[in-house]
Amino acid sequence: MEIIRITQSDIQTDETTNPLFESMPAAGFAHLIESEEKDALNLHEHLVKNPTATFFVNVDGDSMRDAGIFSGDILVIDRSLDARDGSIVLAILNNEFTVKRLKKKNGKVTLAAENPDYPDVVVTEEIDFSIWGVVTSAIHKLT
Amino acid sequence: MKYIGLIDCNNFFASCERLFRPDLSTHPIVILSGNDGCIVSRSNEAKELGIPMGEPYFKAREVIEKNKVAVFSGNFPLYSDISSRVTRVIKSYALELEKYSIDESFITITANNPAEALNLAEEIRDDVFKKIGVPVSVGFSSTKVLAKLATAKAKKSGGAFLIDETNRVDILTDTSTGAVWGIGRAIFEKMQQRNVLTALTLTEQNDIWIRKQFGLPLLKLTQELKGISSFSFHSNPDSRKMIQSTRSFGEACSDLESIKEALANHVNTAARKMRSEGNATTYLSIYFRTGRNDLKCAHRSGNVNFTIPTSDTLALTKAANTLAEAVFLPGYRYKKAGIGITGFTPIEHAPSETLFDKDTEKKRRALMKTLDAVNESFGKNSLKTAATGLSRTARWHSKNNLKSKPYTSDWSQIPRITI
Repeated sequence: MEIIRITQSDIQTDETTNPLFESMPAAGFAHLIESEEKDALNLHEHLVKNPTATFFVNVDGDSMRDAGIFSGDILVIDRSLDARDGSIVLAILNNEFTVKRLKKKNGKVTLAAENPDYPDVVVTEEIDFSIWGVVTSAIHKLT
Repeated sequence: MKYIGLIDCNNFFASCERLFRPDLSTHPIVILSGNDGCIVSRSNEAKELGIPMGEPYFKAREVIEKNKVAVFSGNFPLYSDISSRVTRVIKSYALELEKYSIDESFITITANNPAEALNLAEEIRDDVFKKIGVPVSVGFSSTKVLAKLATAKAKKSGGAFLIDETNRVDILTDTSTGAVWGIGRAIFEKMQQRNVLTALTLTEQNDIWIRKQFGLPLLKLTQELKGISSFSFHSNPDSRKMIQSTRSFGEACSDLESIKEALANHVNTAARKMRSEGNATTYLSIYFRTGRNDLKCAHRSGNVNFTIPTSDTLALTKAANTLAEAVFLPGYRYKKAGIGITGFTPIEHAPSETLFDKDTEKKRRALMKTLDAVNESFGKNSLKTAATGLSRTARWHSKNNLKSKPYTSDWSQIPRITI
């Protein structure tokens, strides 16, 4: 009997094998072949460590160019991570989304752009500010 | 000590819409039902404007326009996805979990004392909000019915609440029987006639009398109000005995193929729900009709009994097609179609020697599992039978003019931000 098993590890259910692809051909084969198939590299798994808390957004604009985020990129945002000094965050500033580098020093919070053409924003008491999630990756397509 | 908890998302659909619209964080929002008929979710600000739940859209329009209330058509791919995420977070805290609806789940936990349980409730709330951005309320008690009451209290007071013997009687005294989960309007009226107005009064009645007047499920419900657990997980006072899927068409259809397509989509939806509850069906009914006040009126329906229970979308679609062909009348402008399935038995009990041979049956079940798994991962209806129609603009698709985007299930629709 030839045993072939293909696993798809990006299906988020309790089972990790796709039952449709488990097949056992009819009896009659005189020999037994066993082939071990390793999982193919899975980009989603590589980029998304906490699927339950991960979301994707598209960005326009070049205020974060020097951090390697370019207009048109897709950002991977993980809400489960705690933002720290130096984290790039998706934040809400006065009810609008923005992506900036978070700087926390001596109680002062700044949202810094990564492009000299754009201003940094110092977050004060009056400004409506919250962190939506931490940007873990920027996906930049070349074609 | 074991506690039963109910976790309920606050203003769920409105909360989902807000997640990607920070500009609406304090704005009144309402969500409309399929075909933009009625209001099915409101943010707190919209509630404060006096817009009632279930209000037909046209009735609320004046208030909505005057106050610039943001209106959304239901965006179910989004709500489904967010709902799954919330469930996954909750699951990590629970011994058992029963997903009761798109925004409610029952769980069991153990805690040494009420304070510990309440701490856990806070932890769950914080975790869900951090990871998913949806606010939830958590109620704990010794039974499901009491947990439901606890959650109702939680919504009004800080988001977490526990009912035990120290406060149960007081709470039942202040709770109308009409507000108890599982007591519908008809039963409530009957209770009012018999002067059983509060939940406490109900618990003071004789068991035999309750059973005689209102039936066994109500007796179980009363036991639950007393703190005696009578509804186990996956059994509820209003457990689903029939699943229906119906919808009005965006535009009238006169041809059989469109009707069949619409029915196939309903079968897809209903069968999936049924399978998720672990059941197979023995009875399928279909219907399609013109408008009630049309000049030329028609209401066509048909049903079939399966001698062997089935949970197979393909078999059900085939049956729906056959019925549609059998009852279809040309020359009418049909405006609505739907299906219902009932006569449920657990899938395990459905014998495997069926219309198909054992091998095919096994493959069919595997196919259904794959269908569900793919839909679970990539969004409902990403994989359907071909019968459901490949055109997104088929005329029977209902009006949904104010839909927000499926932000989390379609790469072309993810939020776009200027940075």
